[in-house]
Amino acid sequence: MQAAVRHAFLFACALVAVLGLLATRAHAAEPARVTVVDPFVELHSGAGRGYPVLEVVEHGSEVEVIEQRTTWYRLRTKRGSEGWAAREQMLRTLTPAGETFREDVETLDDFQAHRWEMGAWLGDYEGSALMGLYGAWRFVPTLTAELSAQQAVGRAADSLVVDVSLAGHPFPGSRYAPYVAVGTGLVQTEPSTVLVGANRREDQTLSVAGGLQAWVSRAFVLRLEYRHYVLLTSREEHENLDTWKAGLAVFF
Amino acid sequence: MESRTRRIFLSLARPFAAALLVAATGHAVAAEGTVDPLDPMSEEPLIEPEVERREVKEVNIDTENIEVGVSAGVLSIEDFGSSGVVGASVAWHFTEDLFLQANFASSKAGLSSYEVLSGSARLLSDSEREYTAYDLSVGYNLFPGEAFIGRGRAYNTAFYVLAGIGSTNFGGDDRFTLNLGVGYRLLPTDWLAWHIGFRDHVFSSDITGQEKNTHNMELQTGITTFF
Repeated sequence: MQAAVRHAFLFACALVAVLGLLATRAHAAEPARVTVVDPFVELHSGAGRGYPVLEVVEHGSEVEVIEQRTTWYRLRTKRGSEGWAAREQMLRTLTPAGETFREDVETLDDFQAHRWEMGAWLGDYEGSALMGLYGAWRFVPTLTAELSAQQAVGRAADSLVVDVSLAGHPFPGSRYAPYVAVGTGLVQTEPSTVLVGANRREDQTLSVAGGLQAWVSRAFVLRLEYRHYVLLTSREEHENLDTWKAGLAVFF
Repeated sequence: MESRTRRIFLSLARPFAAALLVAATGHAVAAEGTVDPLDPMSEEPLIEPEVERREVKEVNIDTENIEVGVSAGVLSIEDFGSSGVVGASVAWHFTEDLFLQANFASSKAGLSSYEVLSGSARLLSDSEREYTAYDLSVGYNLFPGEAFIGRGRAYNTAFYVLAGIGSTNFGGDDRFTLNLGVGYRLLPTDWLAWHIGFRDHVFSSDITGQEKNTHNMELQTGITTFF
């Protein structure tokens, strides 16, 4: 039951983070308008290449942009009919200011200047499968504070690993940004039920990590990390653990 | 930008100024001593344009790529019968074809046939029968299309496939899980979707005495909204 609560909690955290991300995207108070430059713009019945074209909007007509879904834009014509236009045609329309319509997408410059990042990763935790989520806040261009929670599922034991880290980015201006990090956290290890007599234990950790972030496109970042943990156990010797992780993140 | 606005104003102003000039010369004597409106050295502004300036803002369009929803259905947990299952999901649509979906599901296993037949022996405690799972899957809209209901209604739909990995807590252990699924999405409106889907959650289990891969089939339906 405790595990169920834990899982629900992790999921709820992810949900809140996603909704928080949504809330930061301001909604337009009044619909944007664009003027068609192409000979005509095709309005499809759905947001996809295969949907039939129900209407065309002629060169020079003004249309309202209601919403965007993936690379499609829902437009409303002066007569009130609606349809979906492809990104390629939207990029050849003019805004009321007379400028070419630009897509509101993130660029490499935004990646280099971003402050918040959220992602999920998978990896290997001493032979166990590792899955987790992380969030990072870049408070100066070369330093980020990170919080990550991951679960390792193994044959002998399951672990919950929580880390707080400080990462240094020596080259914040490049597309491929290597980093080094130091962290501390907790590891909660629960032996599998088949092993009788083993108890759940909780150890504090110290860790060092090295990794690479790479901007893919738009707001997406790939991330690769190696982290070495020292578990400060109550036993005679400290335990050493190695992890490898690869993940996908979004920045905002 | 500034020069463009200025140019527009100047071109608007020119016929105006010409008209003023005619008017001004008509009353040239009377107007003697006043400022010549066309004299470039004049301190007075040429003309005060009464054109309302249009606010030029960055185009801010509502993006609706995130789908959040709840689902309910039947989960057949291998060896432990079928039970009701409830779930929640968040999906992020990258392109018209691809999306990433995070799922959470919760159920409770029933009795295995061994437990029923033997009468008293229990393989799992009550709390170990709790089944909770979460996963992260990649989805692909394999067959996007439209569904026609009656003569006058067409709704956008998609038949999609899903594959992903996750973790299932069942029988007192967390288990690395592979998820494979198919689903059908129908959009009655632009922001609401109805789903019906079938998924296989594969994980390794030793509850019945020997380690084996178990297939746990889930049939579910749900409602999602786009943000």
